[in-house]
Amino acid sequence: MFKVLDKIGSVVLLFGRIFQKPEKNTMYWQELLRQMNQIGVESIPIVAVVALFIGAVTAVQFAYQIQDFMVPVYYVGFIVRDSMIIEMAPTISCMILAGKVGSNIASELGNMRITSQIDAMEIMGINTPGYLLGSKILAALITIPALIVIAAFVGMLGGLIATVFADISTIQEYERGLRAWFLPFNVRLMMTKGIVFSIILSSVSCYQGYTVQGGAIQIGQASTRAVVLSNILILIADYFIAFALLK
Amino acid sequence: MMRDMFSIPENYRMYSKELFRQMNGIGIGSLIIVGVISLFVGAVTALQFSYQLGSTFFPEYMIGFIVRDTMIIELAPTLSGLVLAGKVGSNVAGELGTMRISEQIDALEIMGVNPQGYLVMPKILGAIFIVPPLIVLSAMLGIFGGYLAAENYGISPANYQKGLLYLFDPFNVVIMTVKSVIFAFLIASVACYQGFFVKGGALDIGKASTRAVVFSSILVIFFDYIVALVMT
Repeated sequence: MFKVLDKIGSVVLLFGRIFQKPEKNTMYWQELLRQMNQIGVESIPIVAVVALFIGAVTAVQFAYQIQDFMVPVYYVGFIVRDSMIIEMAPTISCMILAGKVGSNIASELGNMRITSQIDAMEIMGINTPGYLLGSKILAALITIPALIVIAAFVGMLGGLIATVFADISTIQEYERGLRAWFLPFNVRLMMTKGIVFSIILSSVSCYQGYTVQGGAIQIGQASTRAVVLSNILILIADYFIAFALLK
Repeated sequence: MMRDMFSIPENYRMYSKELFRQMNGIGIGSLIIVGVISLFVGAVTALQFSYQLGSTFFPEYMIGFIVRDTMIIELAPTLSGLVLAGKVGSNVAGELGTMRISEQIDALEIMGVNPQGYLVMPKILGAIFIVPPLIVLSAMLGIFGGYLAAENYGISPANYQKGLLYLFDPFNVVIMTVKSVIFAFLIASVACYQGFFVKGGALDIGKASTRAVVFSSILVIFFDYIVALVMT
């Protein structure tokens, strides 16, 4: 019981220190841009490839599921659009990003901790949670929702390619499905999910990496823990967001 | 690496012990995470389909039908595959990478043990044996999670059950099993390859485990599409 309280206290204290005033604005700005490049721009290819195939799979499998029913063919486009926007683009992309960005952040910070670089910065008078963690979390918060928008778009494109390629429907019918019953609220749902998931995955992996103790093996364990914990928390948050916003 | 794996084991007892140890590590160690995730995924699927279908003319019991089919065909194998790629992949790559950096693999080789056979094969075989049952469990828990969420949302359990029993195609379970065997092989072999051939120091182990997770996630989703295309 006290161990849990101790843990919560240390998390709160650590993340509280992020909000201190930056010592030097240009340094923080540069670090933020560097992190945005690393977290956001470098993840575009993997997110796009994954979304392309997810869209394609959704289209092919939904077409297979509805073939026994009297459902019109253009429903494929409708379902692909809604599943991508509501569920697949935010959740699957963030799970992939938890694997890529999360384990990257955790092992980078863990390595800095083990080699005492973090202690050295602290002694130089830099607020390390603000400089190292704050810039990463802010960068994730800015870039990951943008990545999710790309993922949703590419996913619908993948669904289009798959339906035309597998002769399920024509481009015109798929497009008709894409336009049917569009609710702008779903996009807001997607962005809410994106913001919450990006905070979860960046702060979990920052915490795991920042608090590593031990040696090289512990860095590996921390990065595994970062991936696993952020995956679990993302899916739990997914349920609660759906529950809160869809009532 | 794959070819050297299939040499005759030097000592059958040693190999079978290692196989069981890996099956325990990969399977039992992932039980809780896969369980929690599938419960919530099933719940989300039920909730969101009730919301999506709310504006159309589908009957209520379709929720159970859709949750069952989506879980079995797509979400149970793929999402569990992605989660296992994160957990097992980075674990295996980190373990083998540490053994390579600390020269334990070279030591095994000098002792006359075939390291590919002893270290890599039990991991891949263990994954192939233990991941399909894990995914069956995940599908079951997902359907149960959907049940809880649907009840919460105001859909009667009787209707949900009617949907669960509605138009069941046993072939979907075959698709699920094929997917899970392929994913298990992909995850374990990519992670073993990345970990086995690490060069450098501690920093490179971290890079190798990130690479293992990323490559196996992409391959899982790529083969998901291939299987869906071939089998449906």
